[in-house]
Amino acid sequence: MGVLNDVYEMLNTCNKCGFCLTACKTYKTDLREPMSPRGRIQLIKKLVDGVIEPDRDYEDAINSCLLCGECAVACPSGVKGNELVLAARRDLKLRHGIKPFAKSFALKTLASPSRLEHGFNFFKGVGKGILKKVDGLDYFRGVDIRNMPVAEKPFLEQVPEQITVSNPQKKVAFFVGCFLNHSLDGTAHSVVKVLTKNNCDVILPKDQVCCGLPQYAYGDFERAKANARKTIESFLDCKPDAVLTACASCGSMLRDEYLKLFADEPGYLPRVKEFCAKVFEFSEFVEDQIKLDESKLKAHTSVKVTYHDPCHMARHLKITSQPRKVLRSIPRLQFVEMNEANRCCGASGLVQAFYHELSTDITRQKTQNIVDSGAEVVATSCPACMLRIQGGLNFAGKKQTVVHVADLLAKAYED
Amino acid sequence: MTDKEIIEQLKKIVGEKNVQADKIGLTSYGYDATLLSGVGLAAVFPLSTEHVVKLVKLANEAGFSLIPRGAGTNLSGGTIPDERSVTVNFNRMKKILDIDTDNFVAVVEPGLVNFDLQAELEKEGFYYPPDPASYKATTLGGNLGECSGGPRCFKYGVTRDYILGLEVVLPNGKVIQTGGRNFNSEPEYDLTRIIVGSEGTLALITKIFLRILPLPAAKKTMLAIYNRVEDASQTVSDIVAAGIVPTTLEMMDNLLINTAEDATGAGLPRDAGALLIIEIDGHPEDMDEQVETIAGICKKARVREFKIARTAAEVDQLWLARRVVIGSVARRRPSYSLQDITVPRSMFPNMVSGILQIAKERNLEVGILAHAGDGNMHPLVLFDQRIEEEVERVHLAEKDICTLALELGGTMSGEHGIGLLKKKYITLEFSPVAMDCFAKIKNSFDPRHLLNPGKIMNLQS
Repeated sequence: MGVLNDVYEMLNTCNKCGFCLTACKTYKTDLREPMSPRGRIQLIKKLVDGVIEPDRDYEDAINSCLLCGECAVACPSGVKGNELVLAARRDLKLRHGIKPFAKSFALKTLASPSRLEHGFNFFKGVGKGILKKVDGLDYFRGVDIRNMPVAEKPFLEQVPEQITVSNPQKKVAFFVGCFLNHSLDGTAHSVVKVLTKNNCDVILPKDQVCCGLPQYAYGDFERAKANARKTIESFLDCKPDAVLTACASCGSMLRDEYLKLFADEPGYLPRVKEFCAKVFEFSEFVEDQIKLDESKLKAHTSVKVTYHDPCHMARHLKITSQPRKVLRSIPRLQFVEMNEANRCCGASGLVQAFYHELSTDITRQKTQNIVDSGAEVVATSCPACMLRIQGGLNFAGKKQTVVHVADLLAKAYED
Repeated sequence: MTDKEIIEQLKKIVGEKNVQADKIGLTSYGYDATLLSGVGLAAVFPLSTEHVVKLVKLANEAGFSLIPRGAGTNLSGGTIPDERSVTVNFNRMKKILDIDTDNFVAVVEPGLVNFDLQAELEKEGFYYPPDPASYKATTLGGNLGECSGGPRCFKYGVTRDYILGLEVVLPNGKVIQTGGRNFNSEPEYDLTRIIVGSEGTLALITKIFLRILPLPAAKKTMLAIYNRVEDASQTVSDIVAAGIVPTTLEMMDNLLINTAEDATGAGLPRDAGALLIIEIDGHPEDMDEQVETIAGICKKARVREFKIARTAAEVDQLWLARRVVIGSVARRRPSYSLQDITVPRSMFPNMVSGILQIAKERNLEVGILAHAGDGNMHPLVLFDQRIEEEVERVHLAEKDICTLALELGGTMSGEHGIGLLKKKYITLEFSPVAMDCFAKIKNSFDPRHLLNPGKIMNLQS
């Protein structure tokens, strides 16, 4: 109960004005009060007050939150609904572990590199084949199974540990992340290409593990900490000028959440701070740290592109202008804004698997906004959003494709 | 019928997915934006008029009551359930049925969110004037039940002035339509206007005919900053006396300027005693002259700074700061008591100084927010619900404020309704004869007291 007692003052600060209702995609889609930030906050408070039990319905309210952070922006009193939900998930983990089994298994698999690789290999080989043979299972829980890419070989096995350039200006350690390593390896190559074209030495620590966000988001701080510690040590050992990630979710974990995670270890905190200060997200690094020489970018076929702000980008890392600047700097790229560009795509880690109907409805709103914008290509900065949105577009029979900002920029360096 | 049987019947009417009767669900429909709470029998989500008719029939048969609810953002305890009541959530009935720009009419279902209607209307060059601060969350049905106002109501009036007609389900399960698309009200008793503001105690609304207006051709938003709250309230009387009708004349005092600034970072002056947000609309060529007159009046009342918002972004920032005020006070203290008194405009400065005096005497922190143009004020008395002695002082201050408003020829509720919260003060305002009239109206619609029982007044059953 300690976890929730620690946040009780914030729970008590919610005066139920309801300004968060419109900000919340799960509420606007489902329209039941327990699916709203106000509803979740009041339930957490009632749990602490001993009025309700942490039953299945309570867990559904807590676990269906997208953690998108929009409620915190909308709240006049500065209550951070997403942080309260995180505390509630931590409390649930401490009470009885992570339920159901499938979720706890998924989180353990993600945390271990070897189990993760086996998982992807199975999916690539047998699993996908089986799923494809089952009639009507092209789309499993809103994810486009048939077209979900799996790397032939993990990205980290395709590249050397260090890639050097002739005139190095910066030494960048690339935190690849699970999705770019196992699924969207092409995007990982795009990142390396942009870095080397801009005179950066790239280090690719082979022992890198999951950043710990999936475990952290469900309250398994122990496992998250173990992975965080491994990450911090292996990257600081390389003595890089910068630690770069092309995944908004990993970015928010590496830069911001690690500080919160280790707040209770003052002895280790300086090391964490040293690490966090070096973390940059791809577009941010390109715009703010290296001067992009636009004259080196080559023109290709004209294309109309819109940008989707991942939650972790817009509200956690607060990086919104840089990816747009990168896109606008690409020759013959016509940039258009979509409606609600910074609203959640519905992926949110395991929410899409465990609350797939809700998640699919939210994705549908995103794909509609994309179609309405008239764009042919959607660029974004998070592989989880990429897979989710592409699945949604395919599901709706739309032709638009989803790429990473790095993919478009890397292409501009090709002849 | 047992509770279990009732819940089974409810599921048959609206479908399993549209009933919540678990502990978590019931807890979630037990509160609104006040400190009150209760636990009902079930919460249901009708999707059609037919569903509502069946719900009313079941309520008659099984003897439970019905509590209509939109988004649950009301400030009067208007949707608090009791153990024999079923909460009827209208927020899944949210279709726009028609936007008729030729006739300036929109037809909507009651669960539509005010803001969602505004967004659609804007595409057609129209808007719906009543815009309560919570318009992004509140439903039009809820606005109608409470007869909500909003910052624009000084010039444009309140919800009542924009409701042309209704489709309602009466407590006997019969459906009637009152009014319609015509601007002239129907002959005989105006049922539409009796139902608007009746806080869900007379009928369940299933369709609303709204009056909409074309967006004004020009708008100017001004910010006047004062060292003393008294000077700001003097400006309000002077503007009205000069015959100017701004759309908006909003006042915030020092405390609220600070909490709103904490919430938005809009750049409000933290050391100011009070500020006024003044907005005018109309023909582009009239704007400059009106701004000049208003600036002159502000100067006469010792304004410290007078600014005109230059860009749409500046206007939005000012409005955002205004809209978050009630929510933002929790930054200061966790609980607030919000009054909704309205006094004749000329009495506005007296009411402001009276509130400051009451706060001082009761040793309480108070923030004053006012739709100053129409004399509607929301003094926010701040406290902590967990400190009993303080809560008692708050109750005394509430009564002082209501009594003073009535002494000045005002009313204790301008736009939030009576609900449960102000029920205990209603006899201060209305004579026994008037109360008897209310009871007779209620009984003629709802003789069995099935709809939102216990709200507004206590009735003999």
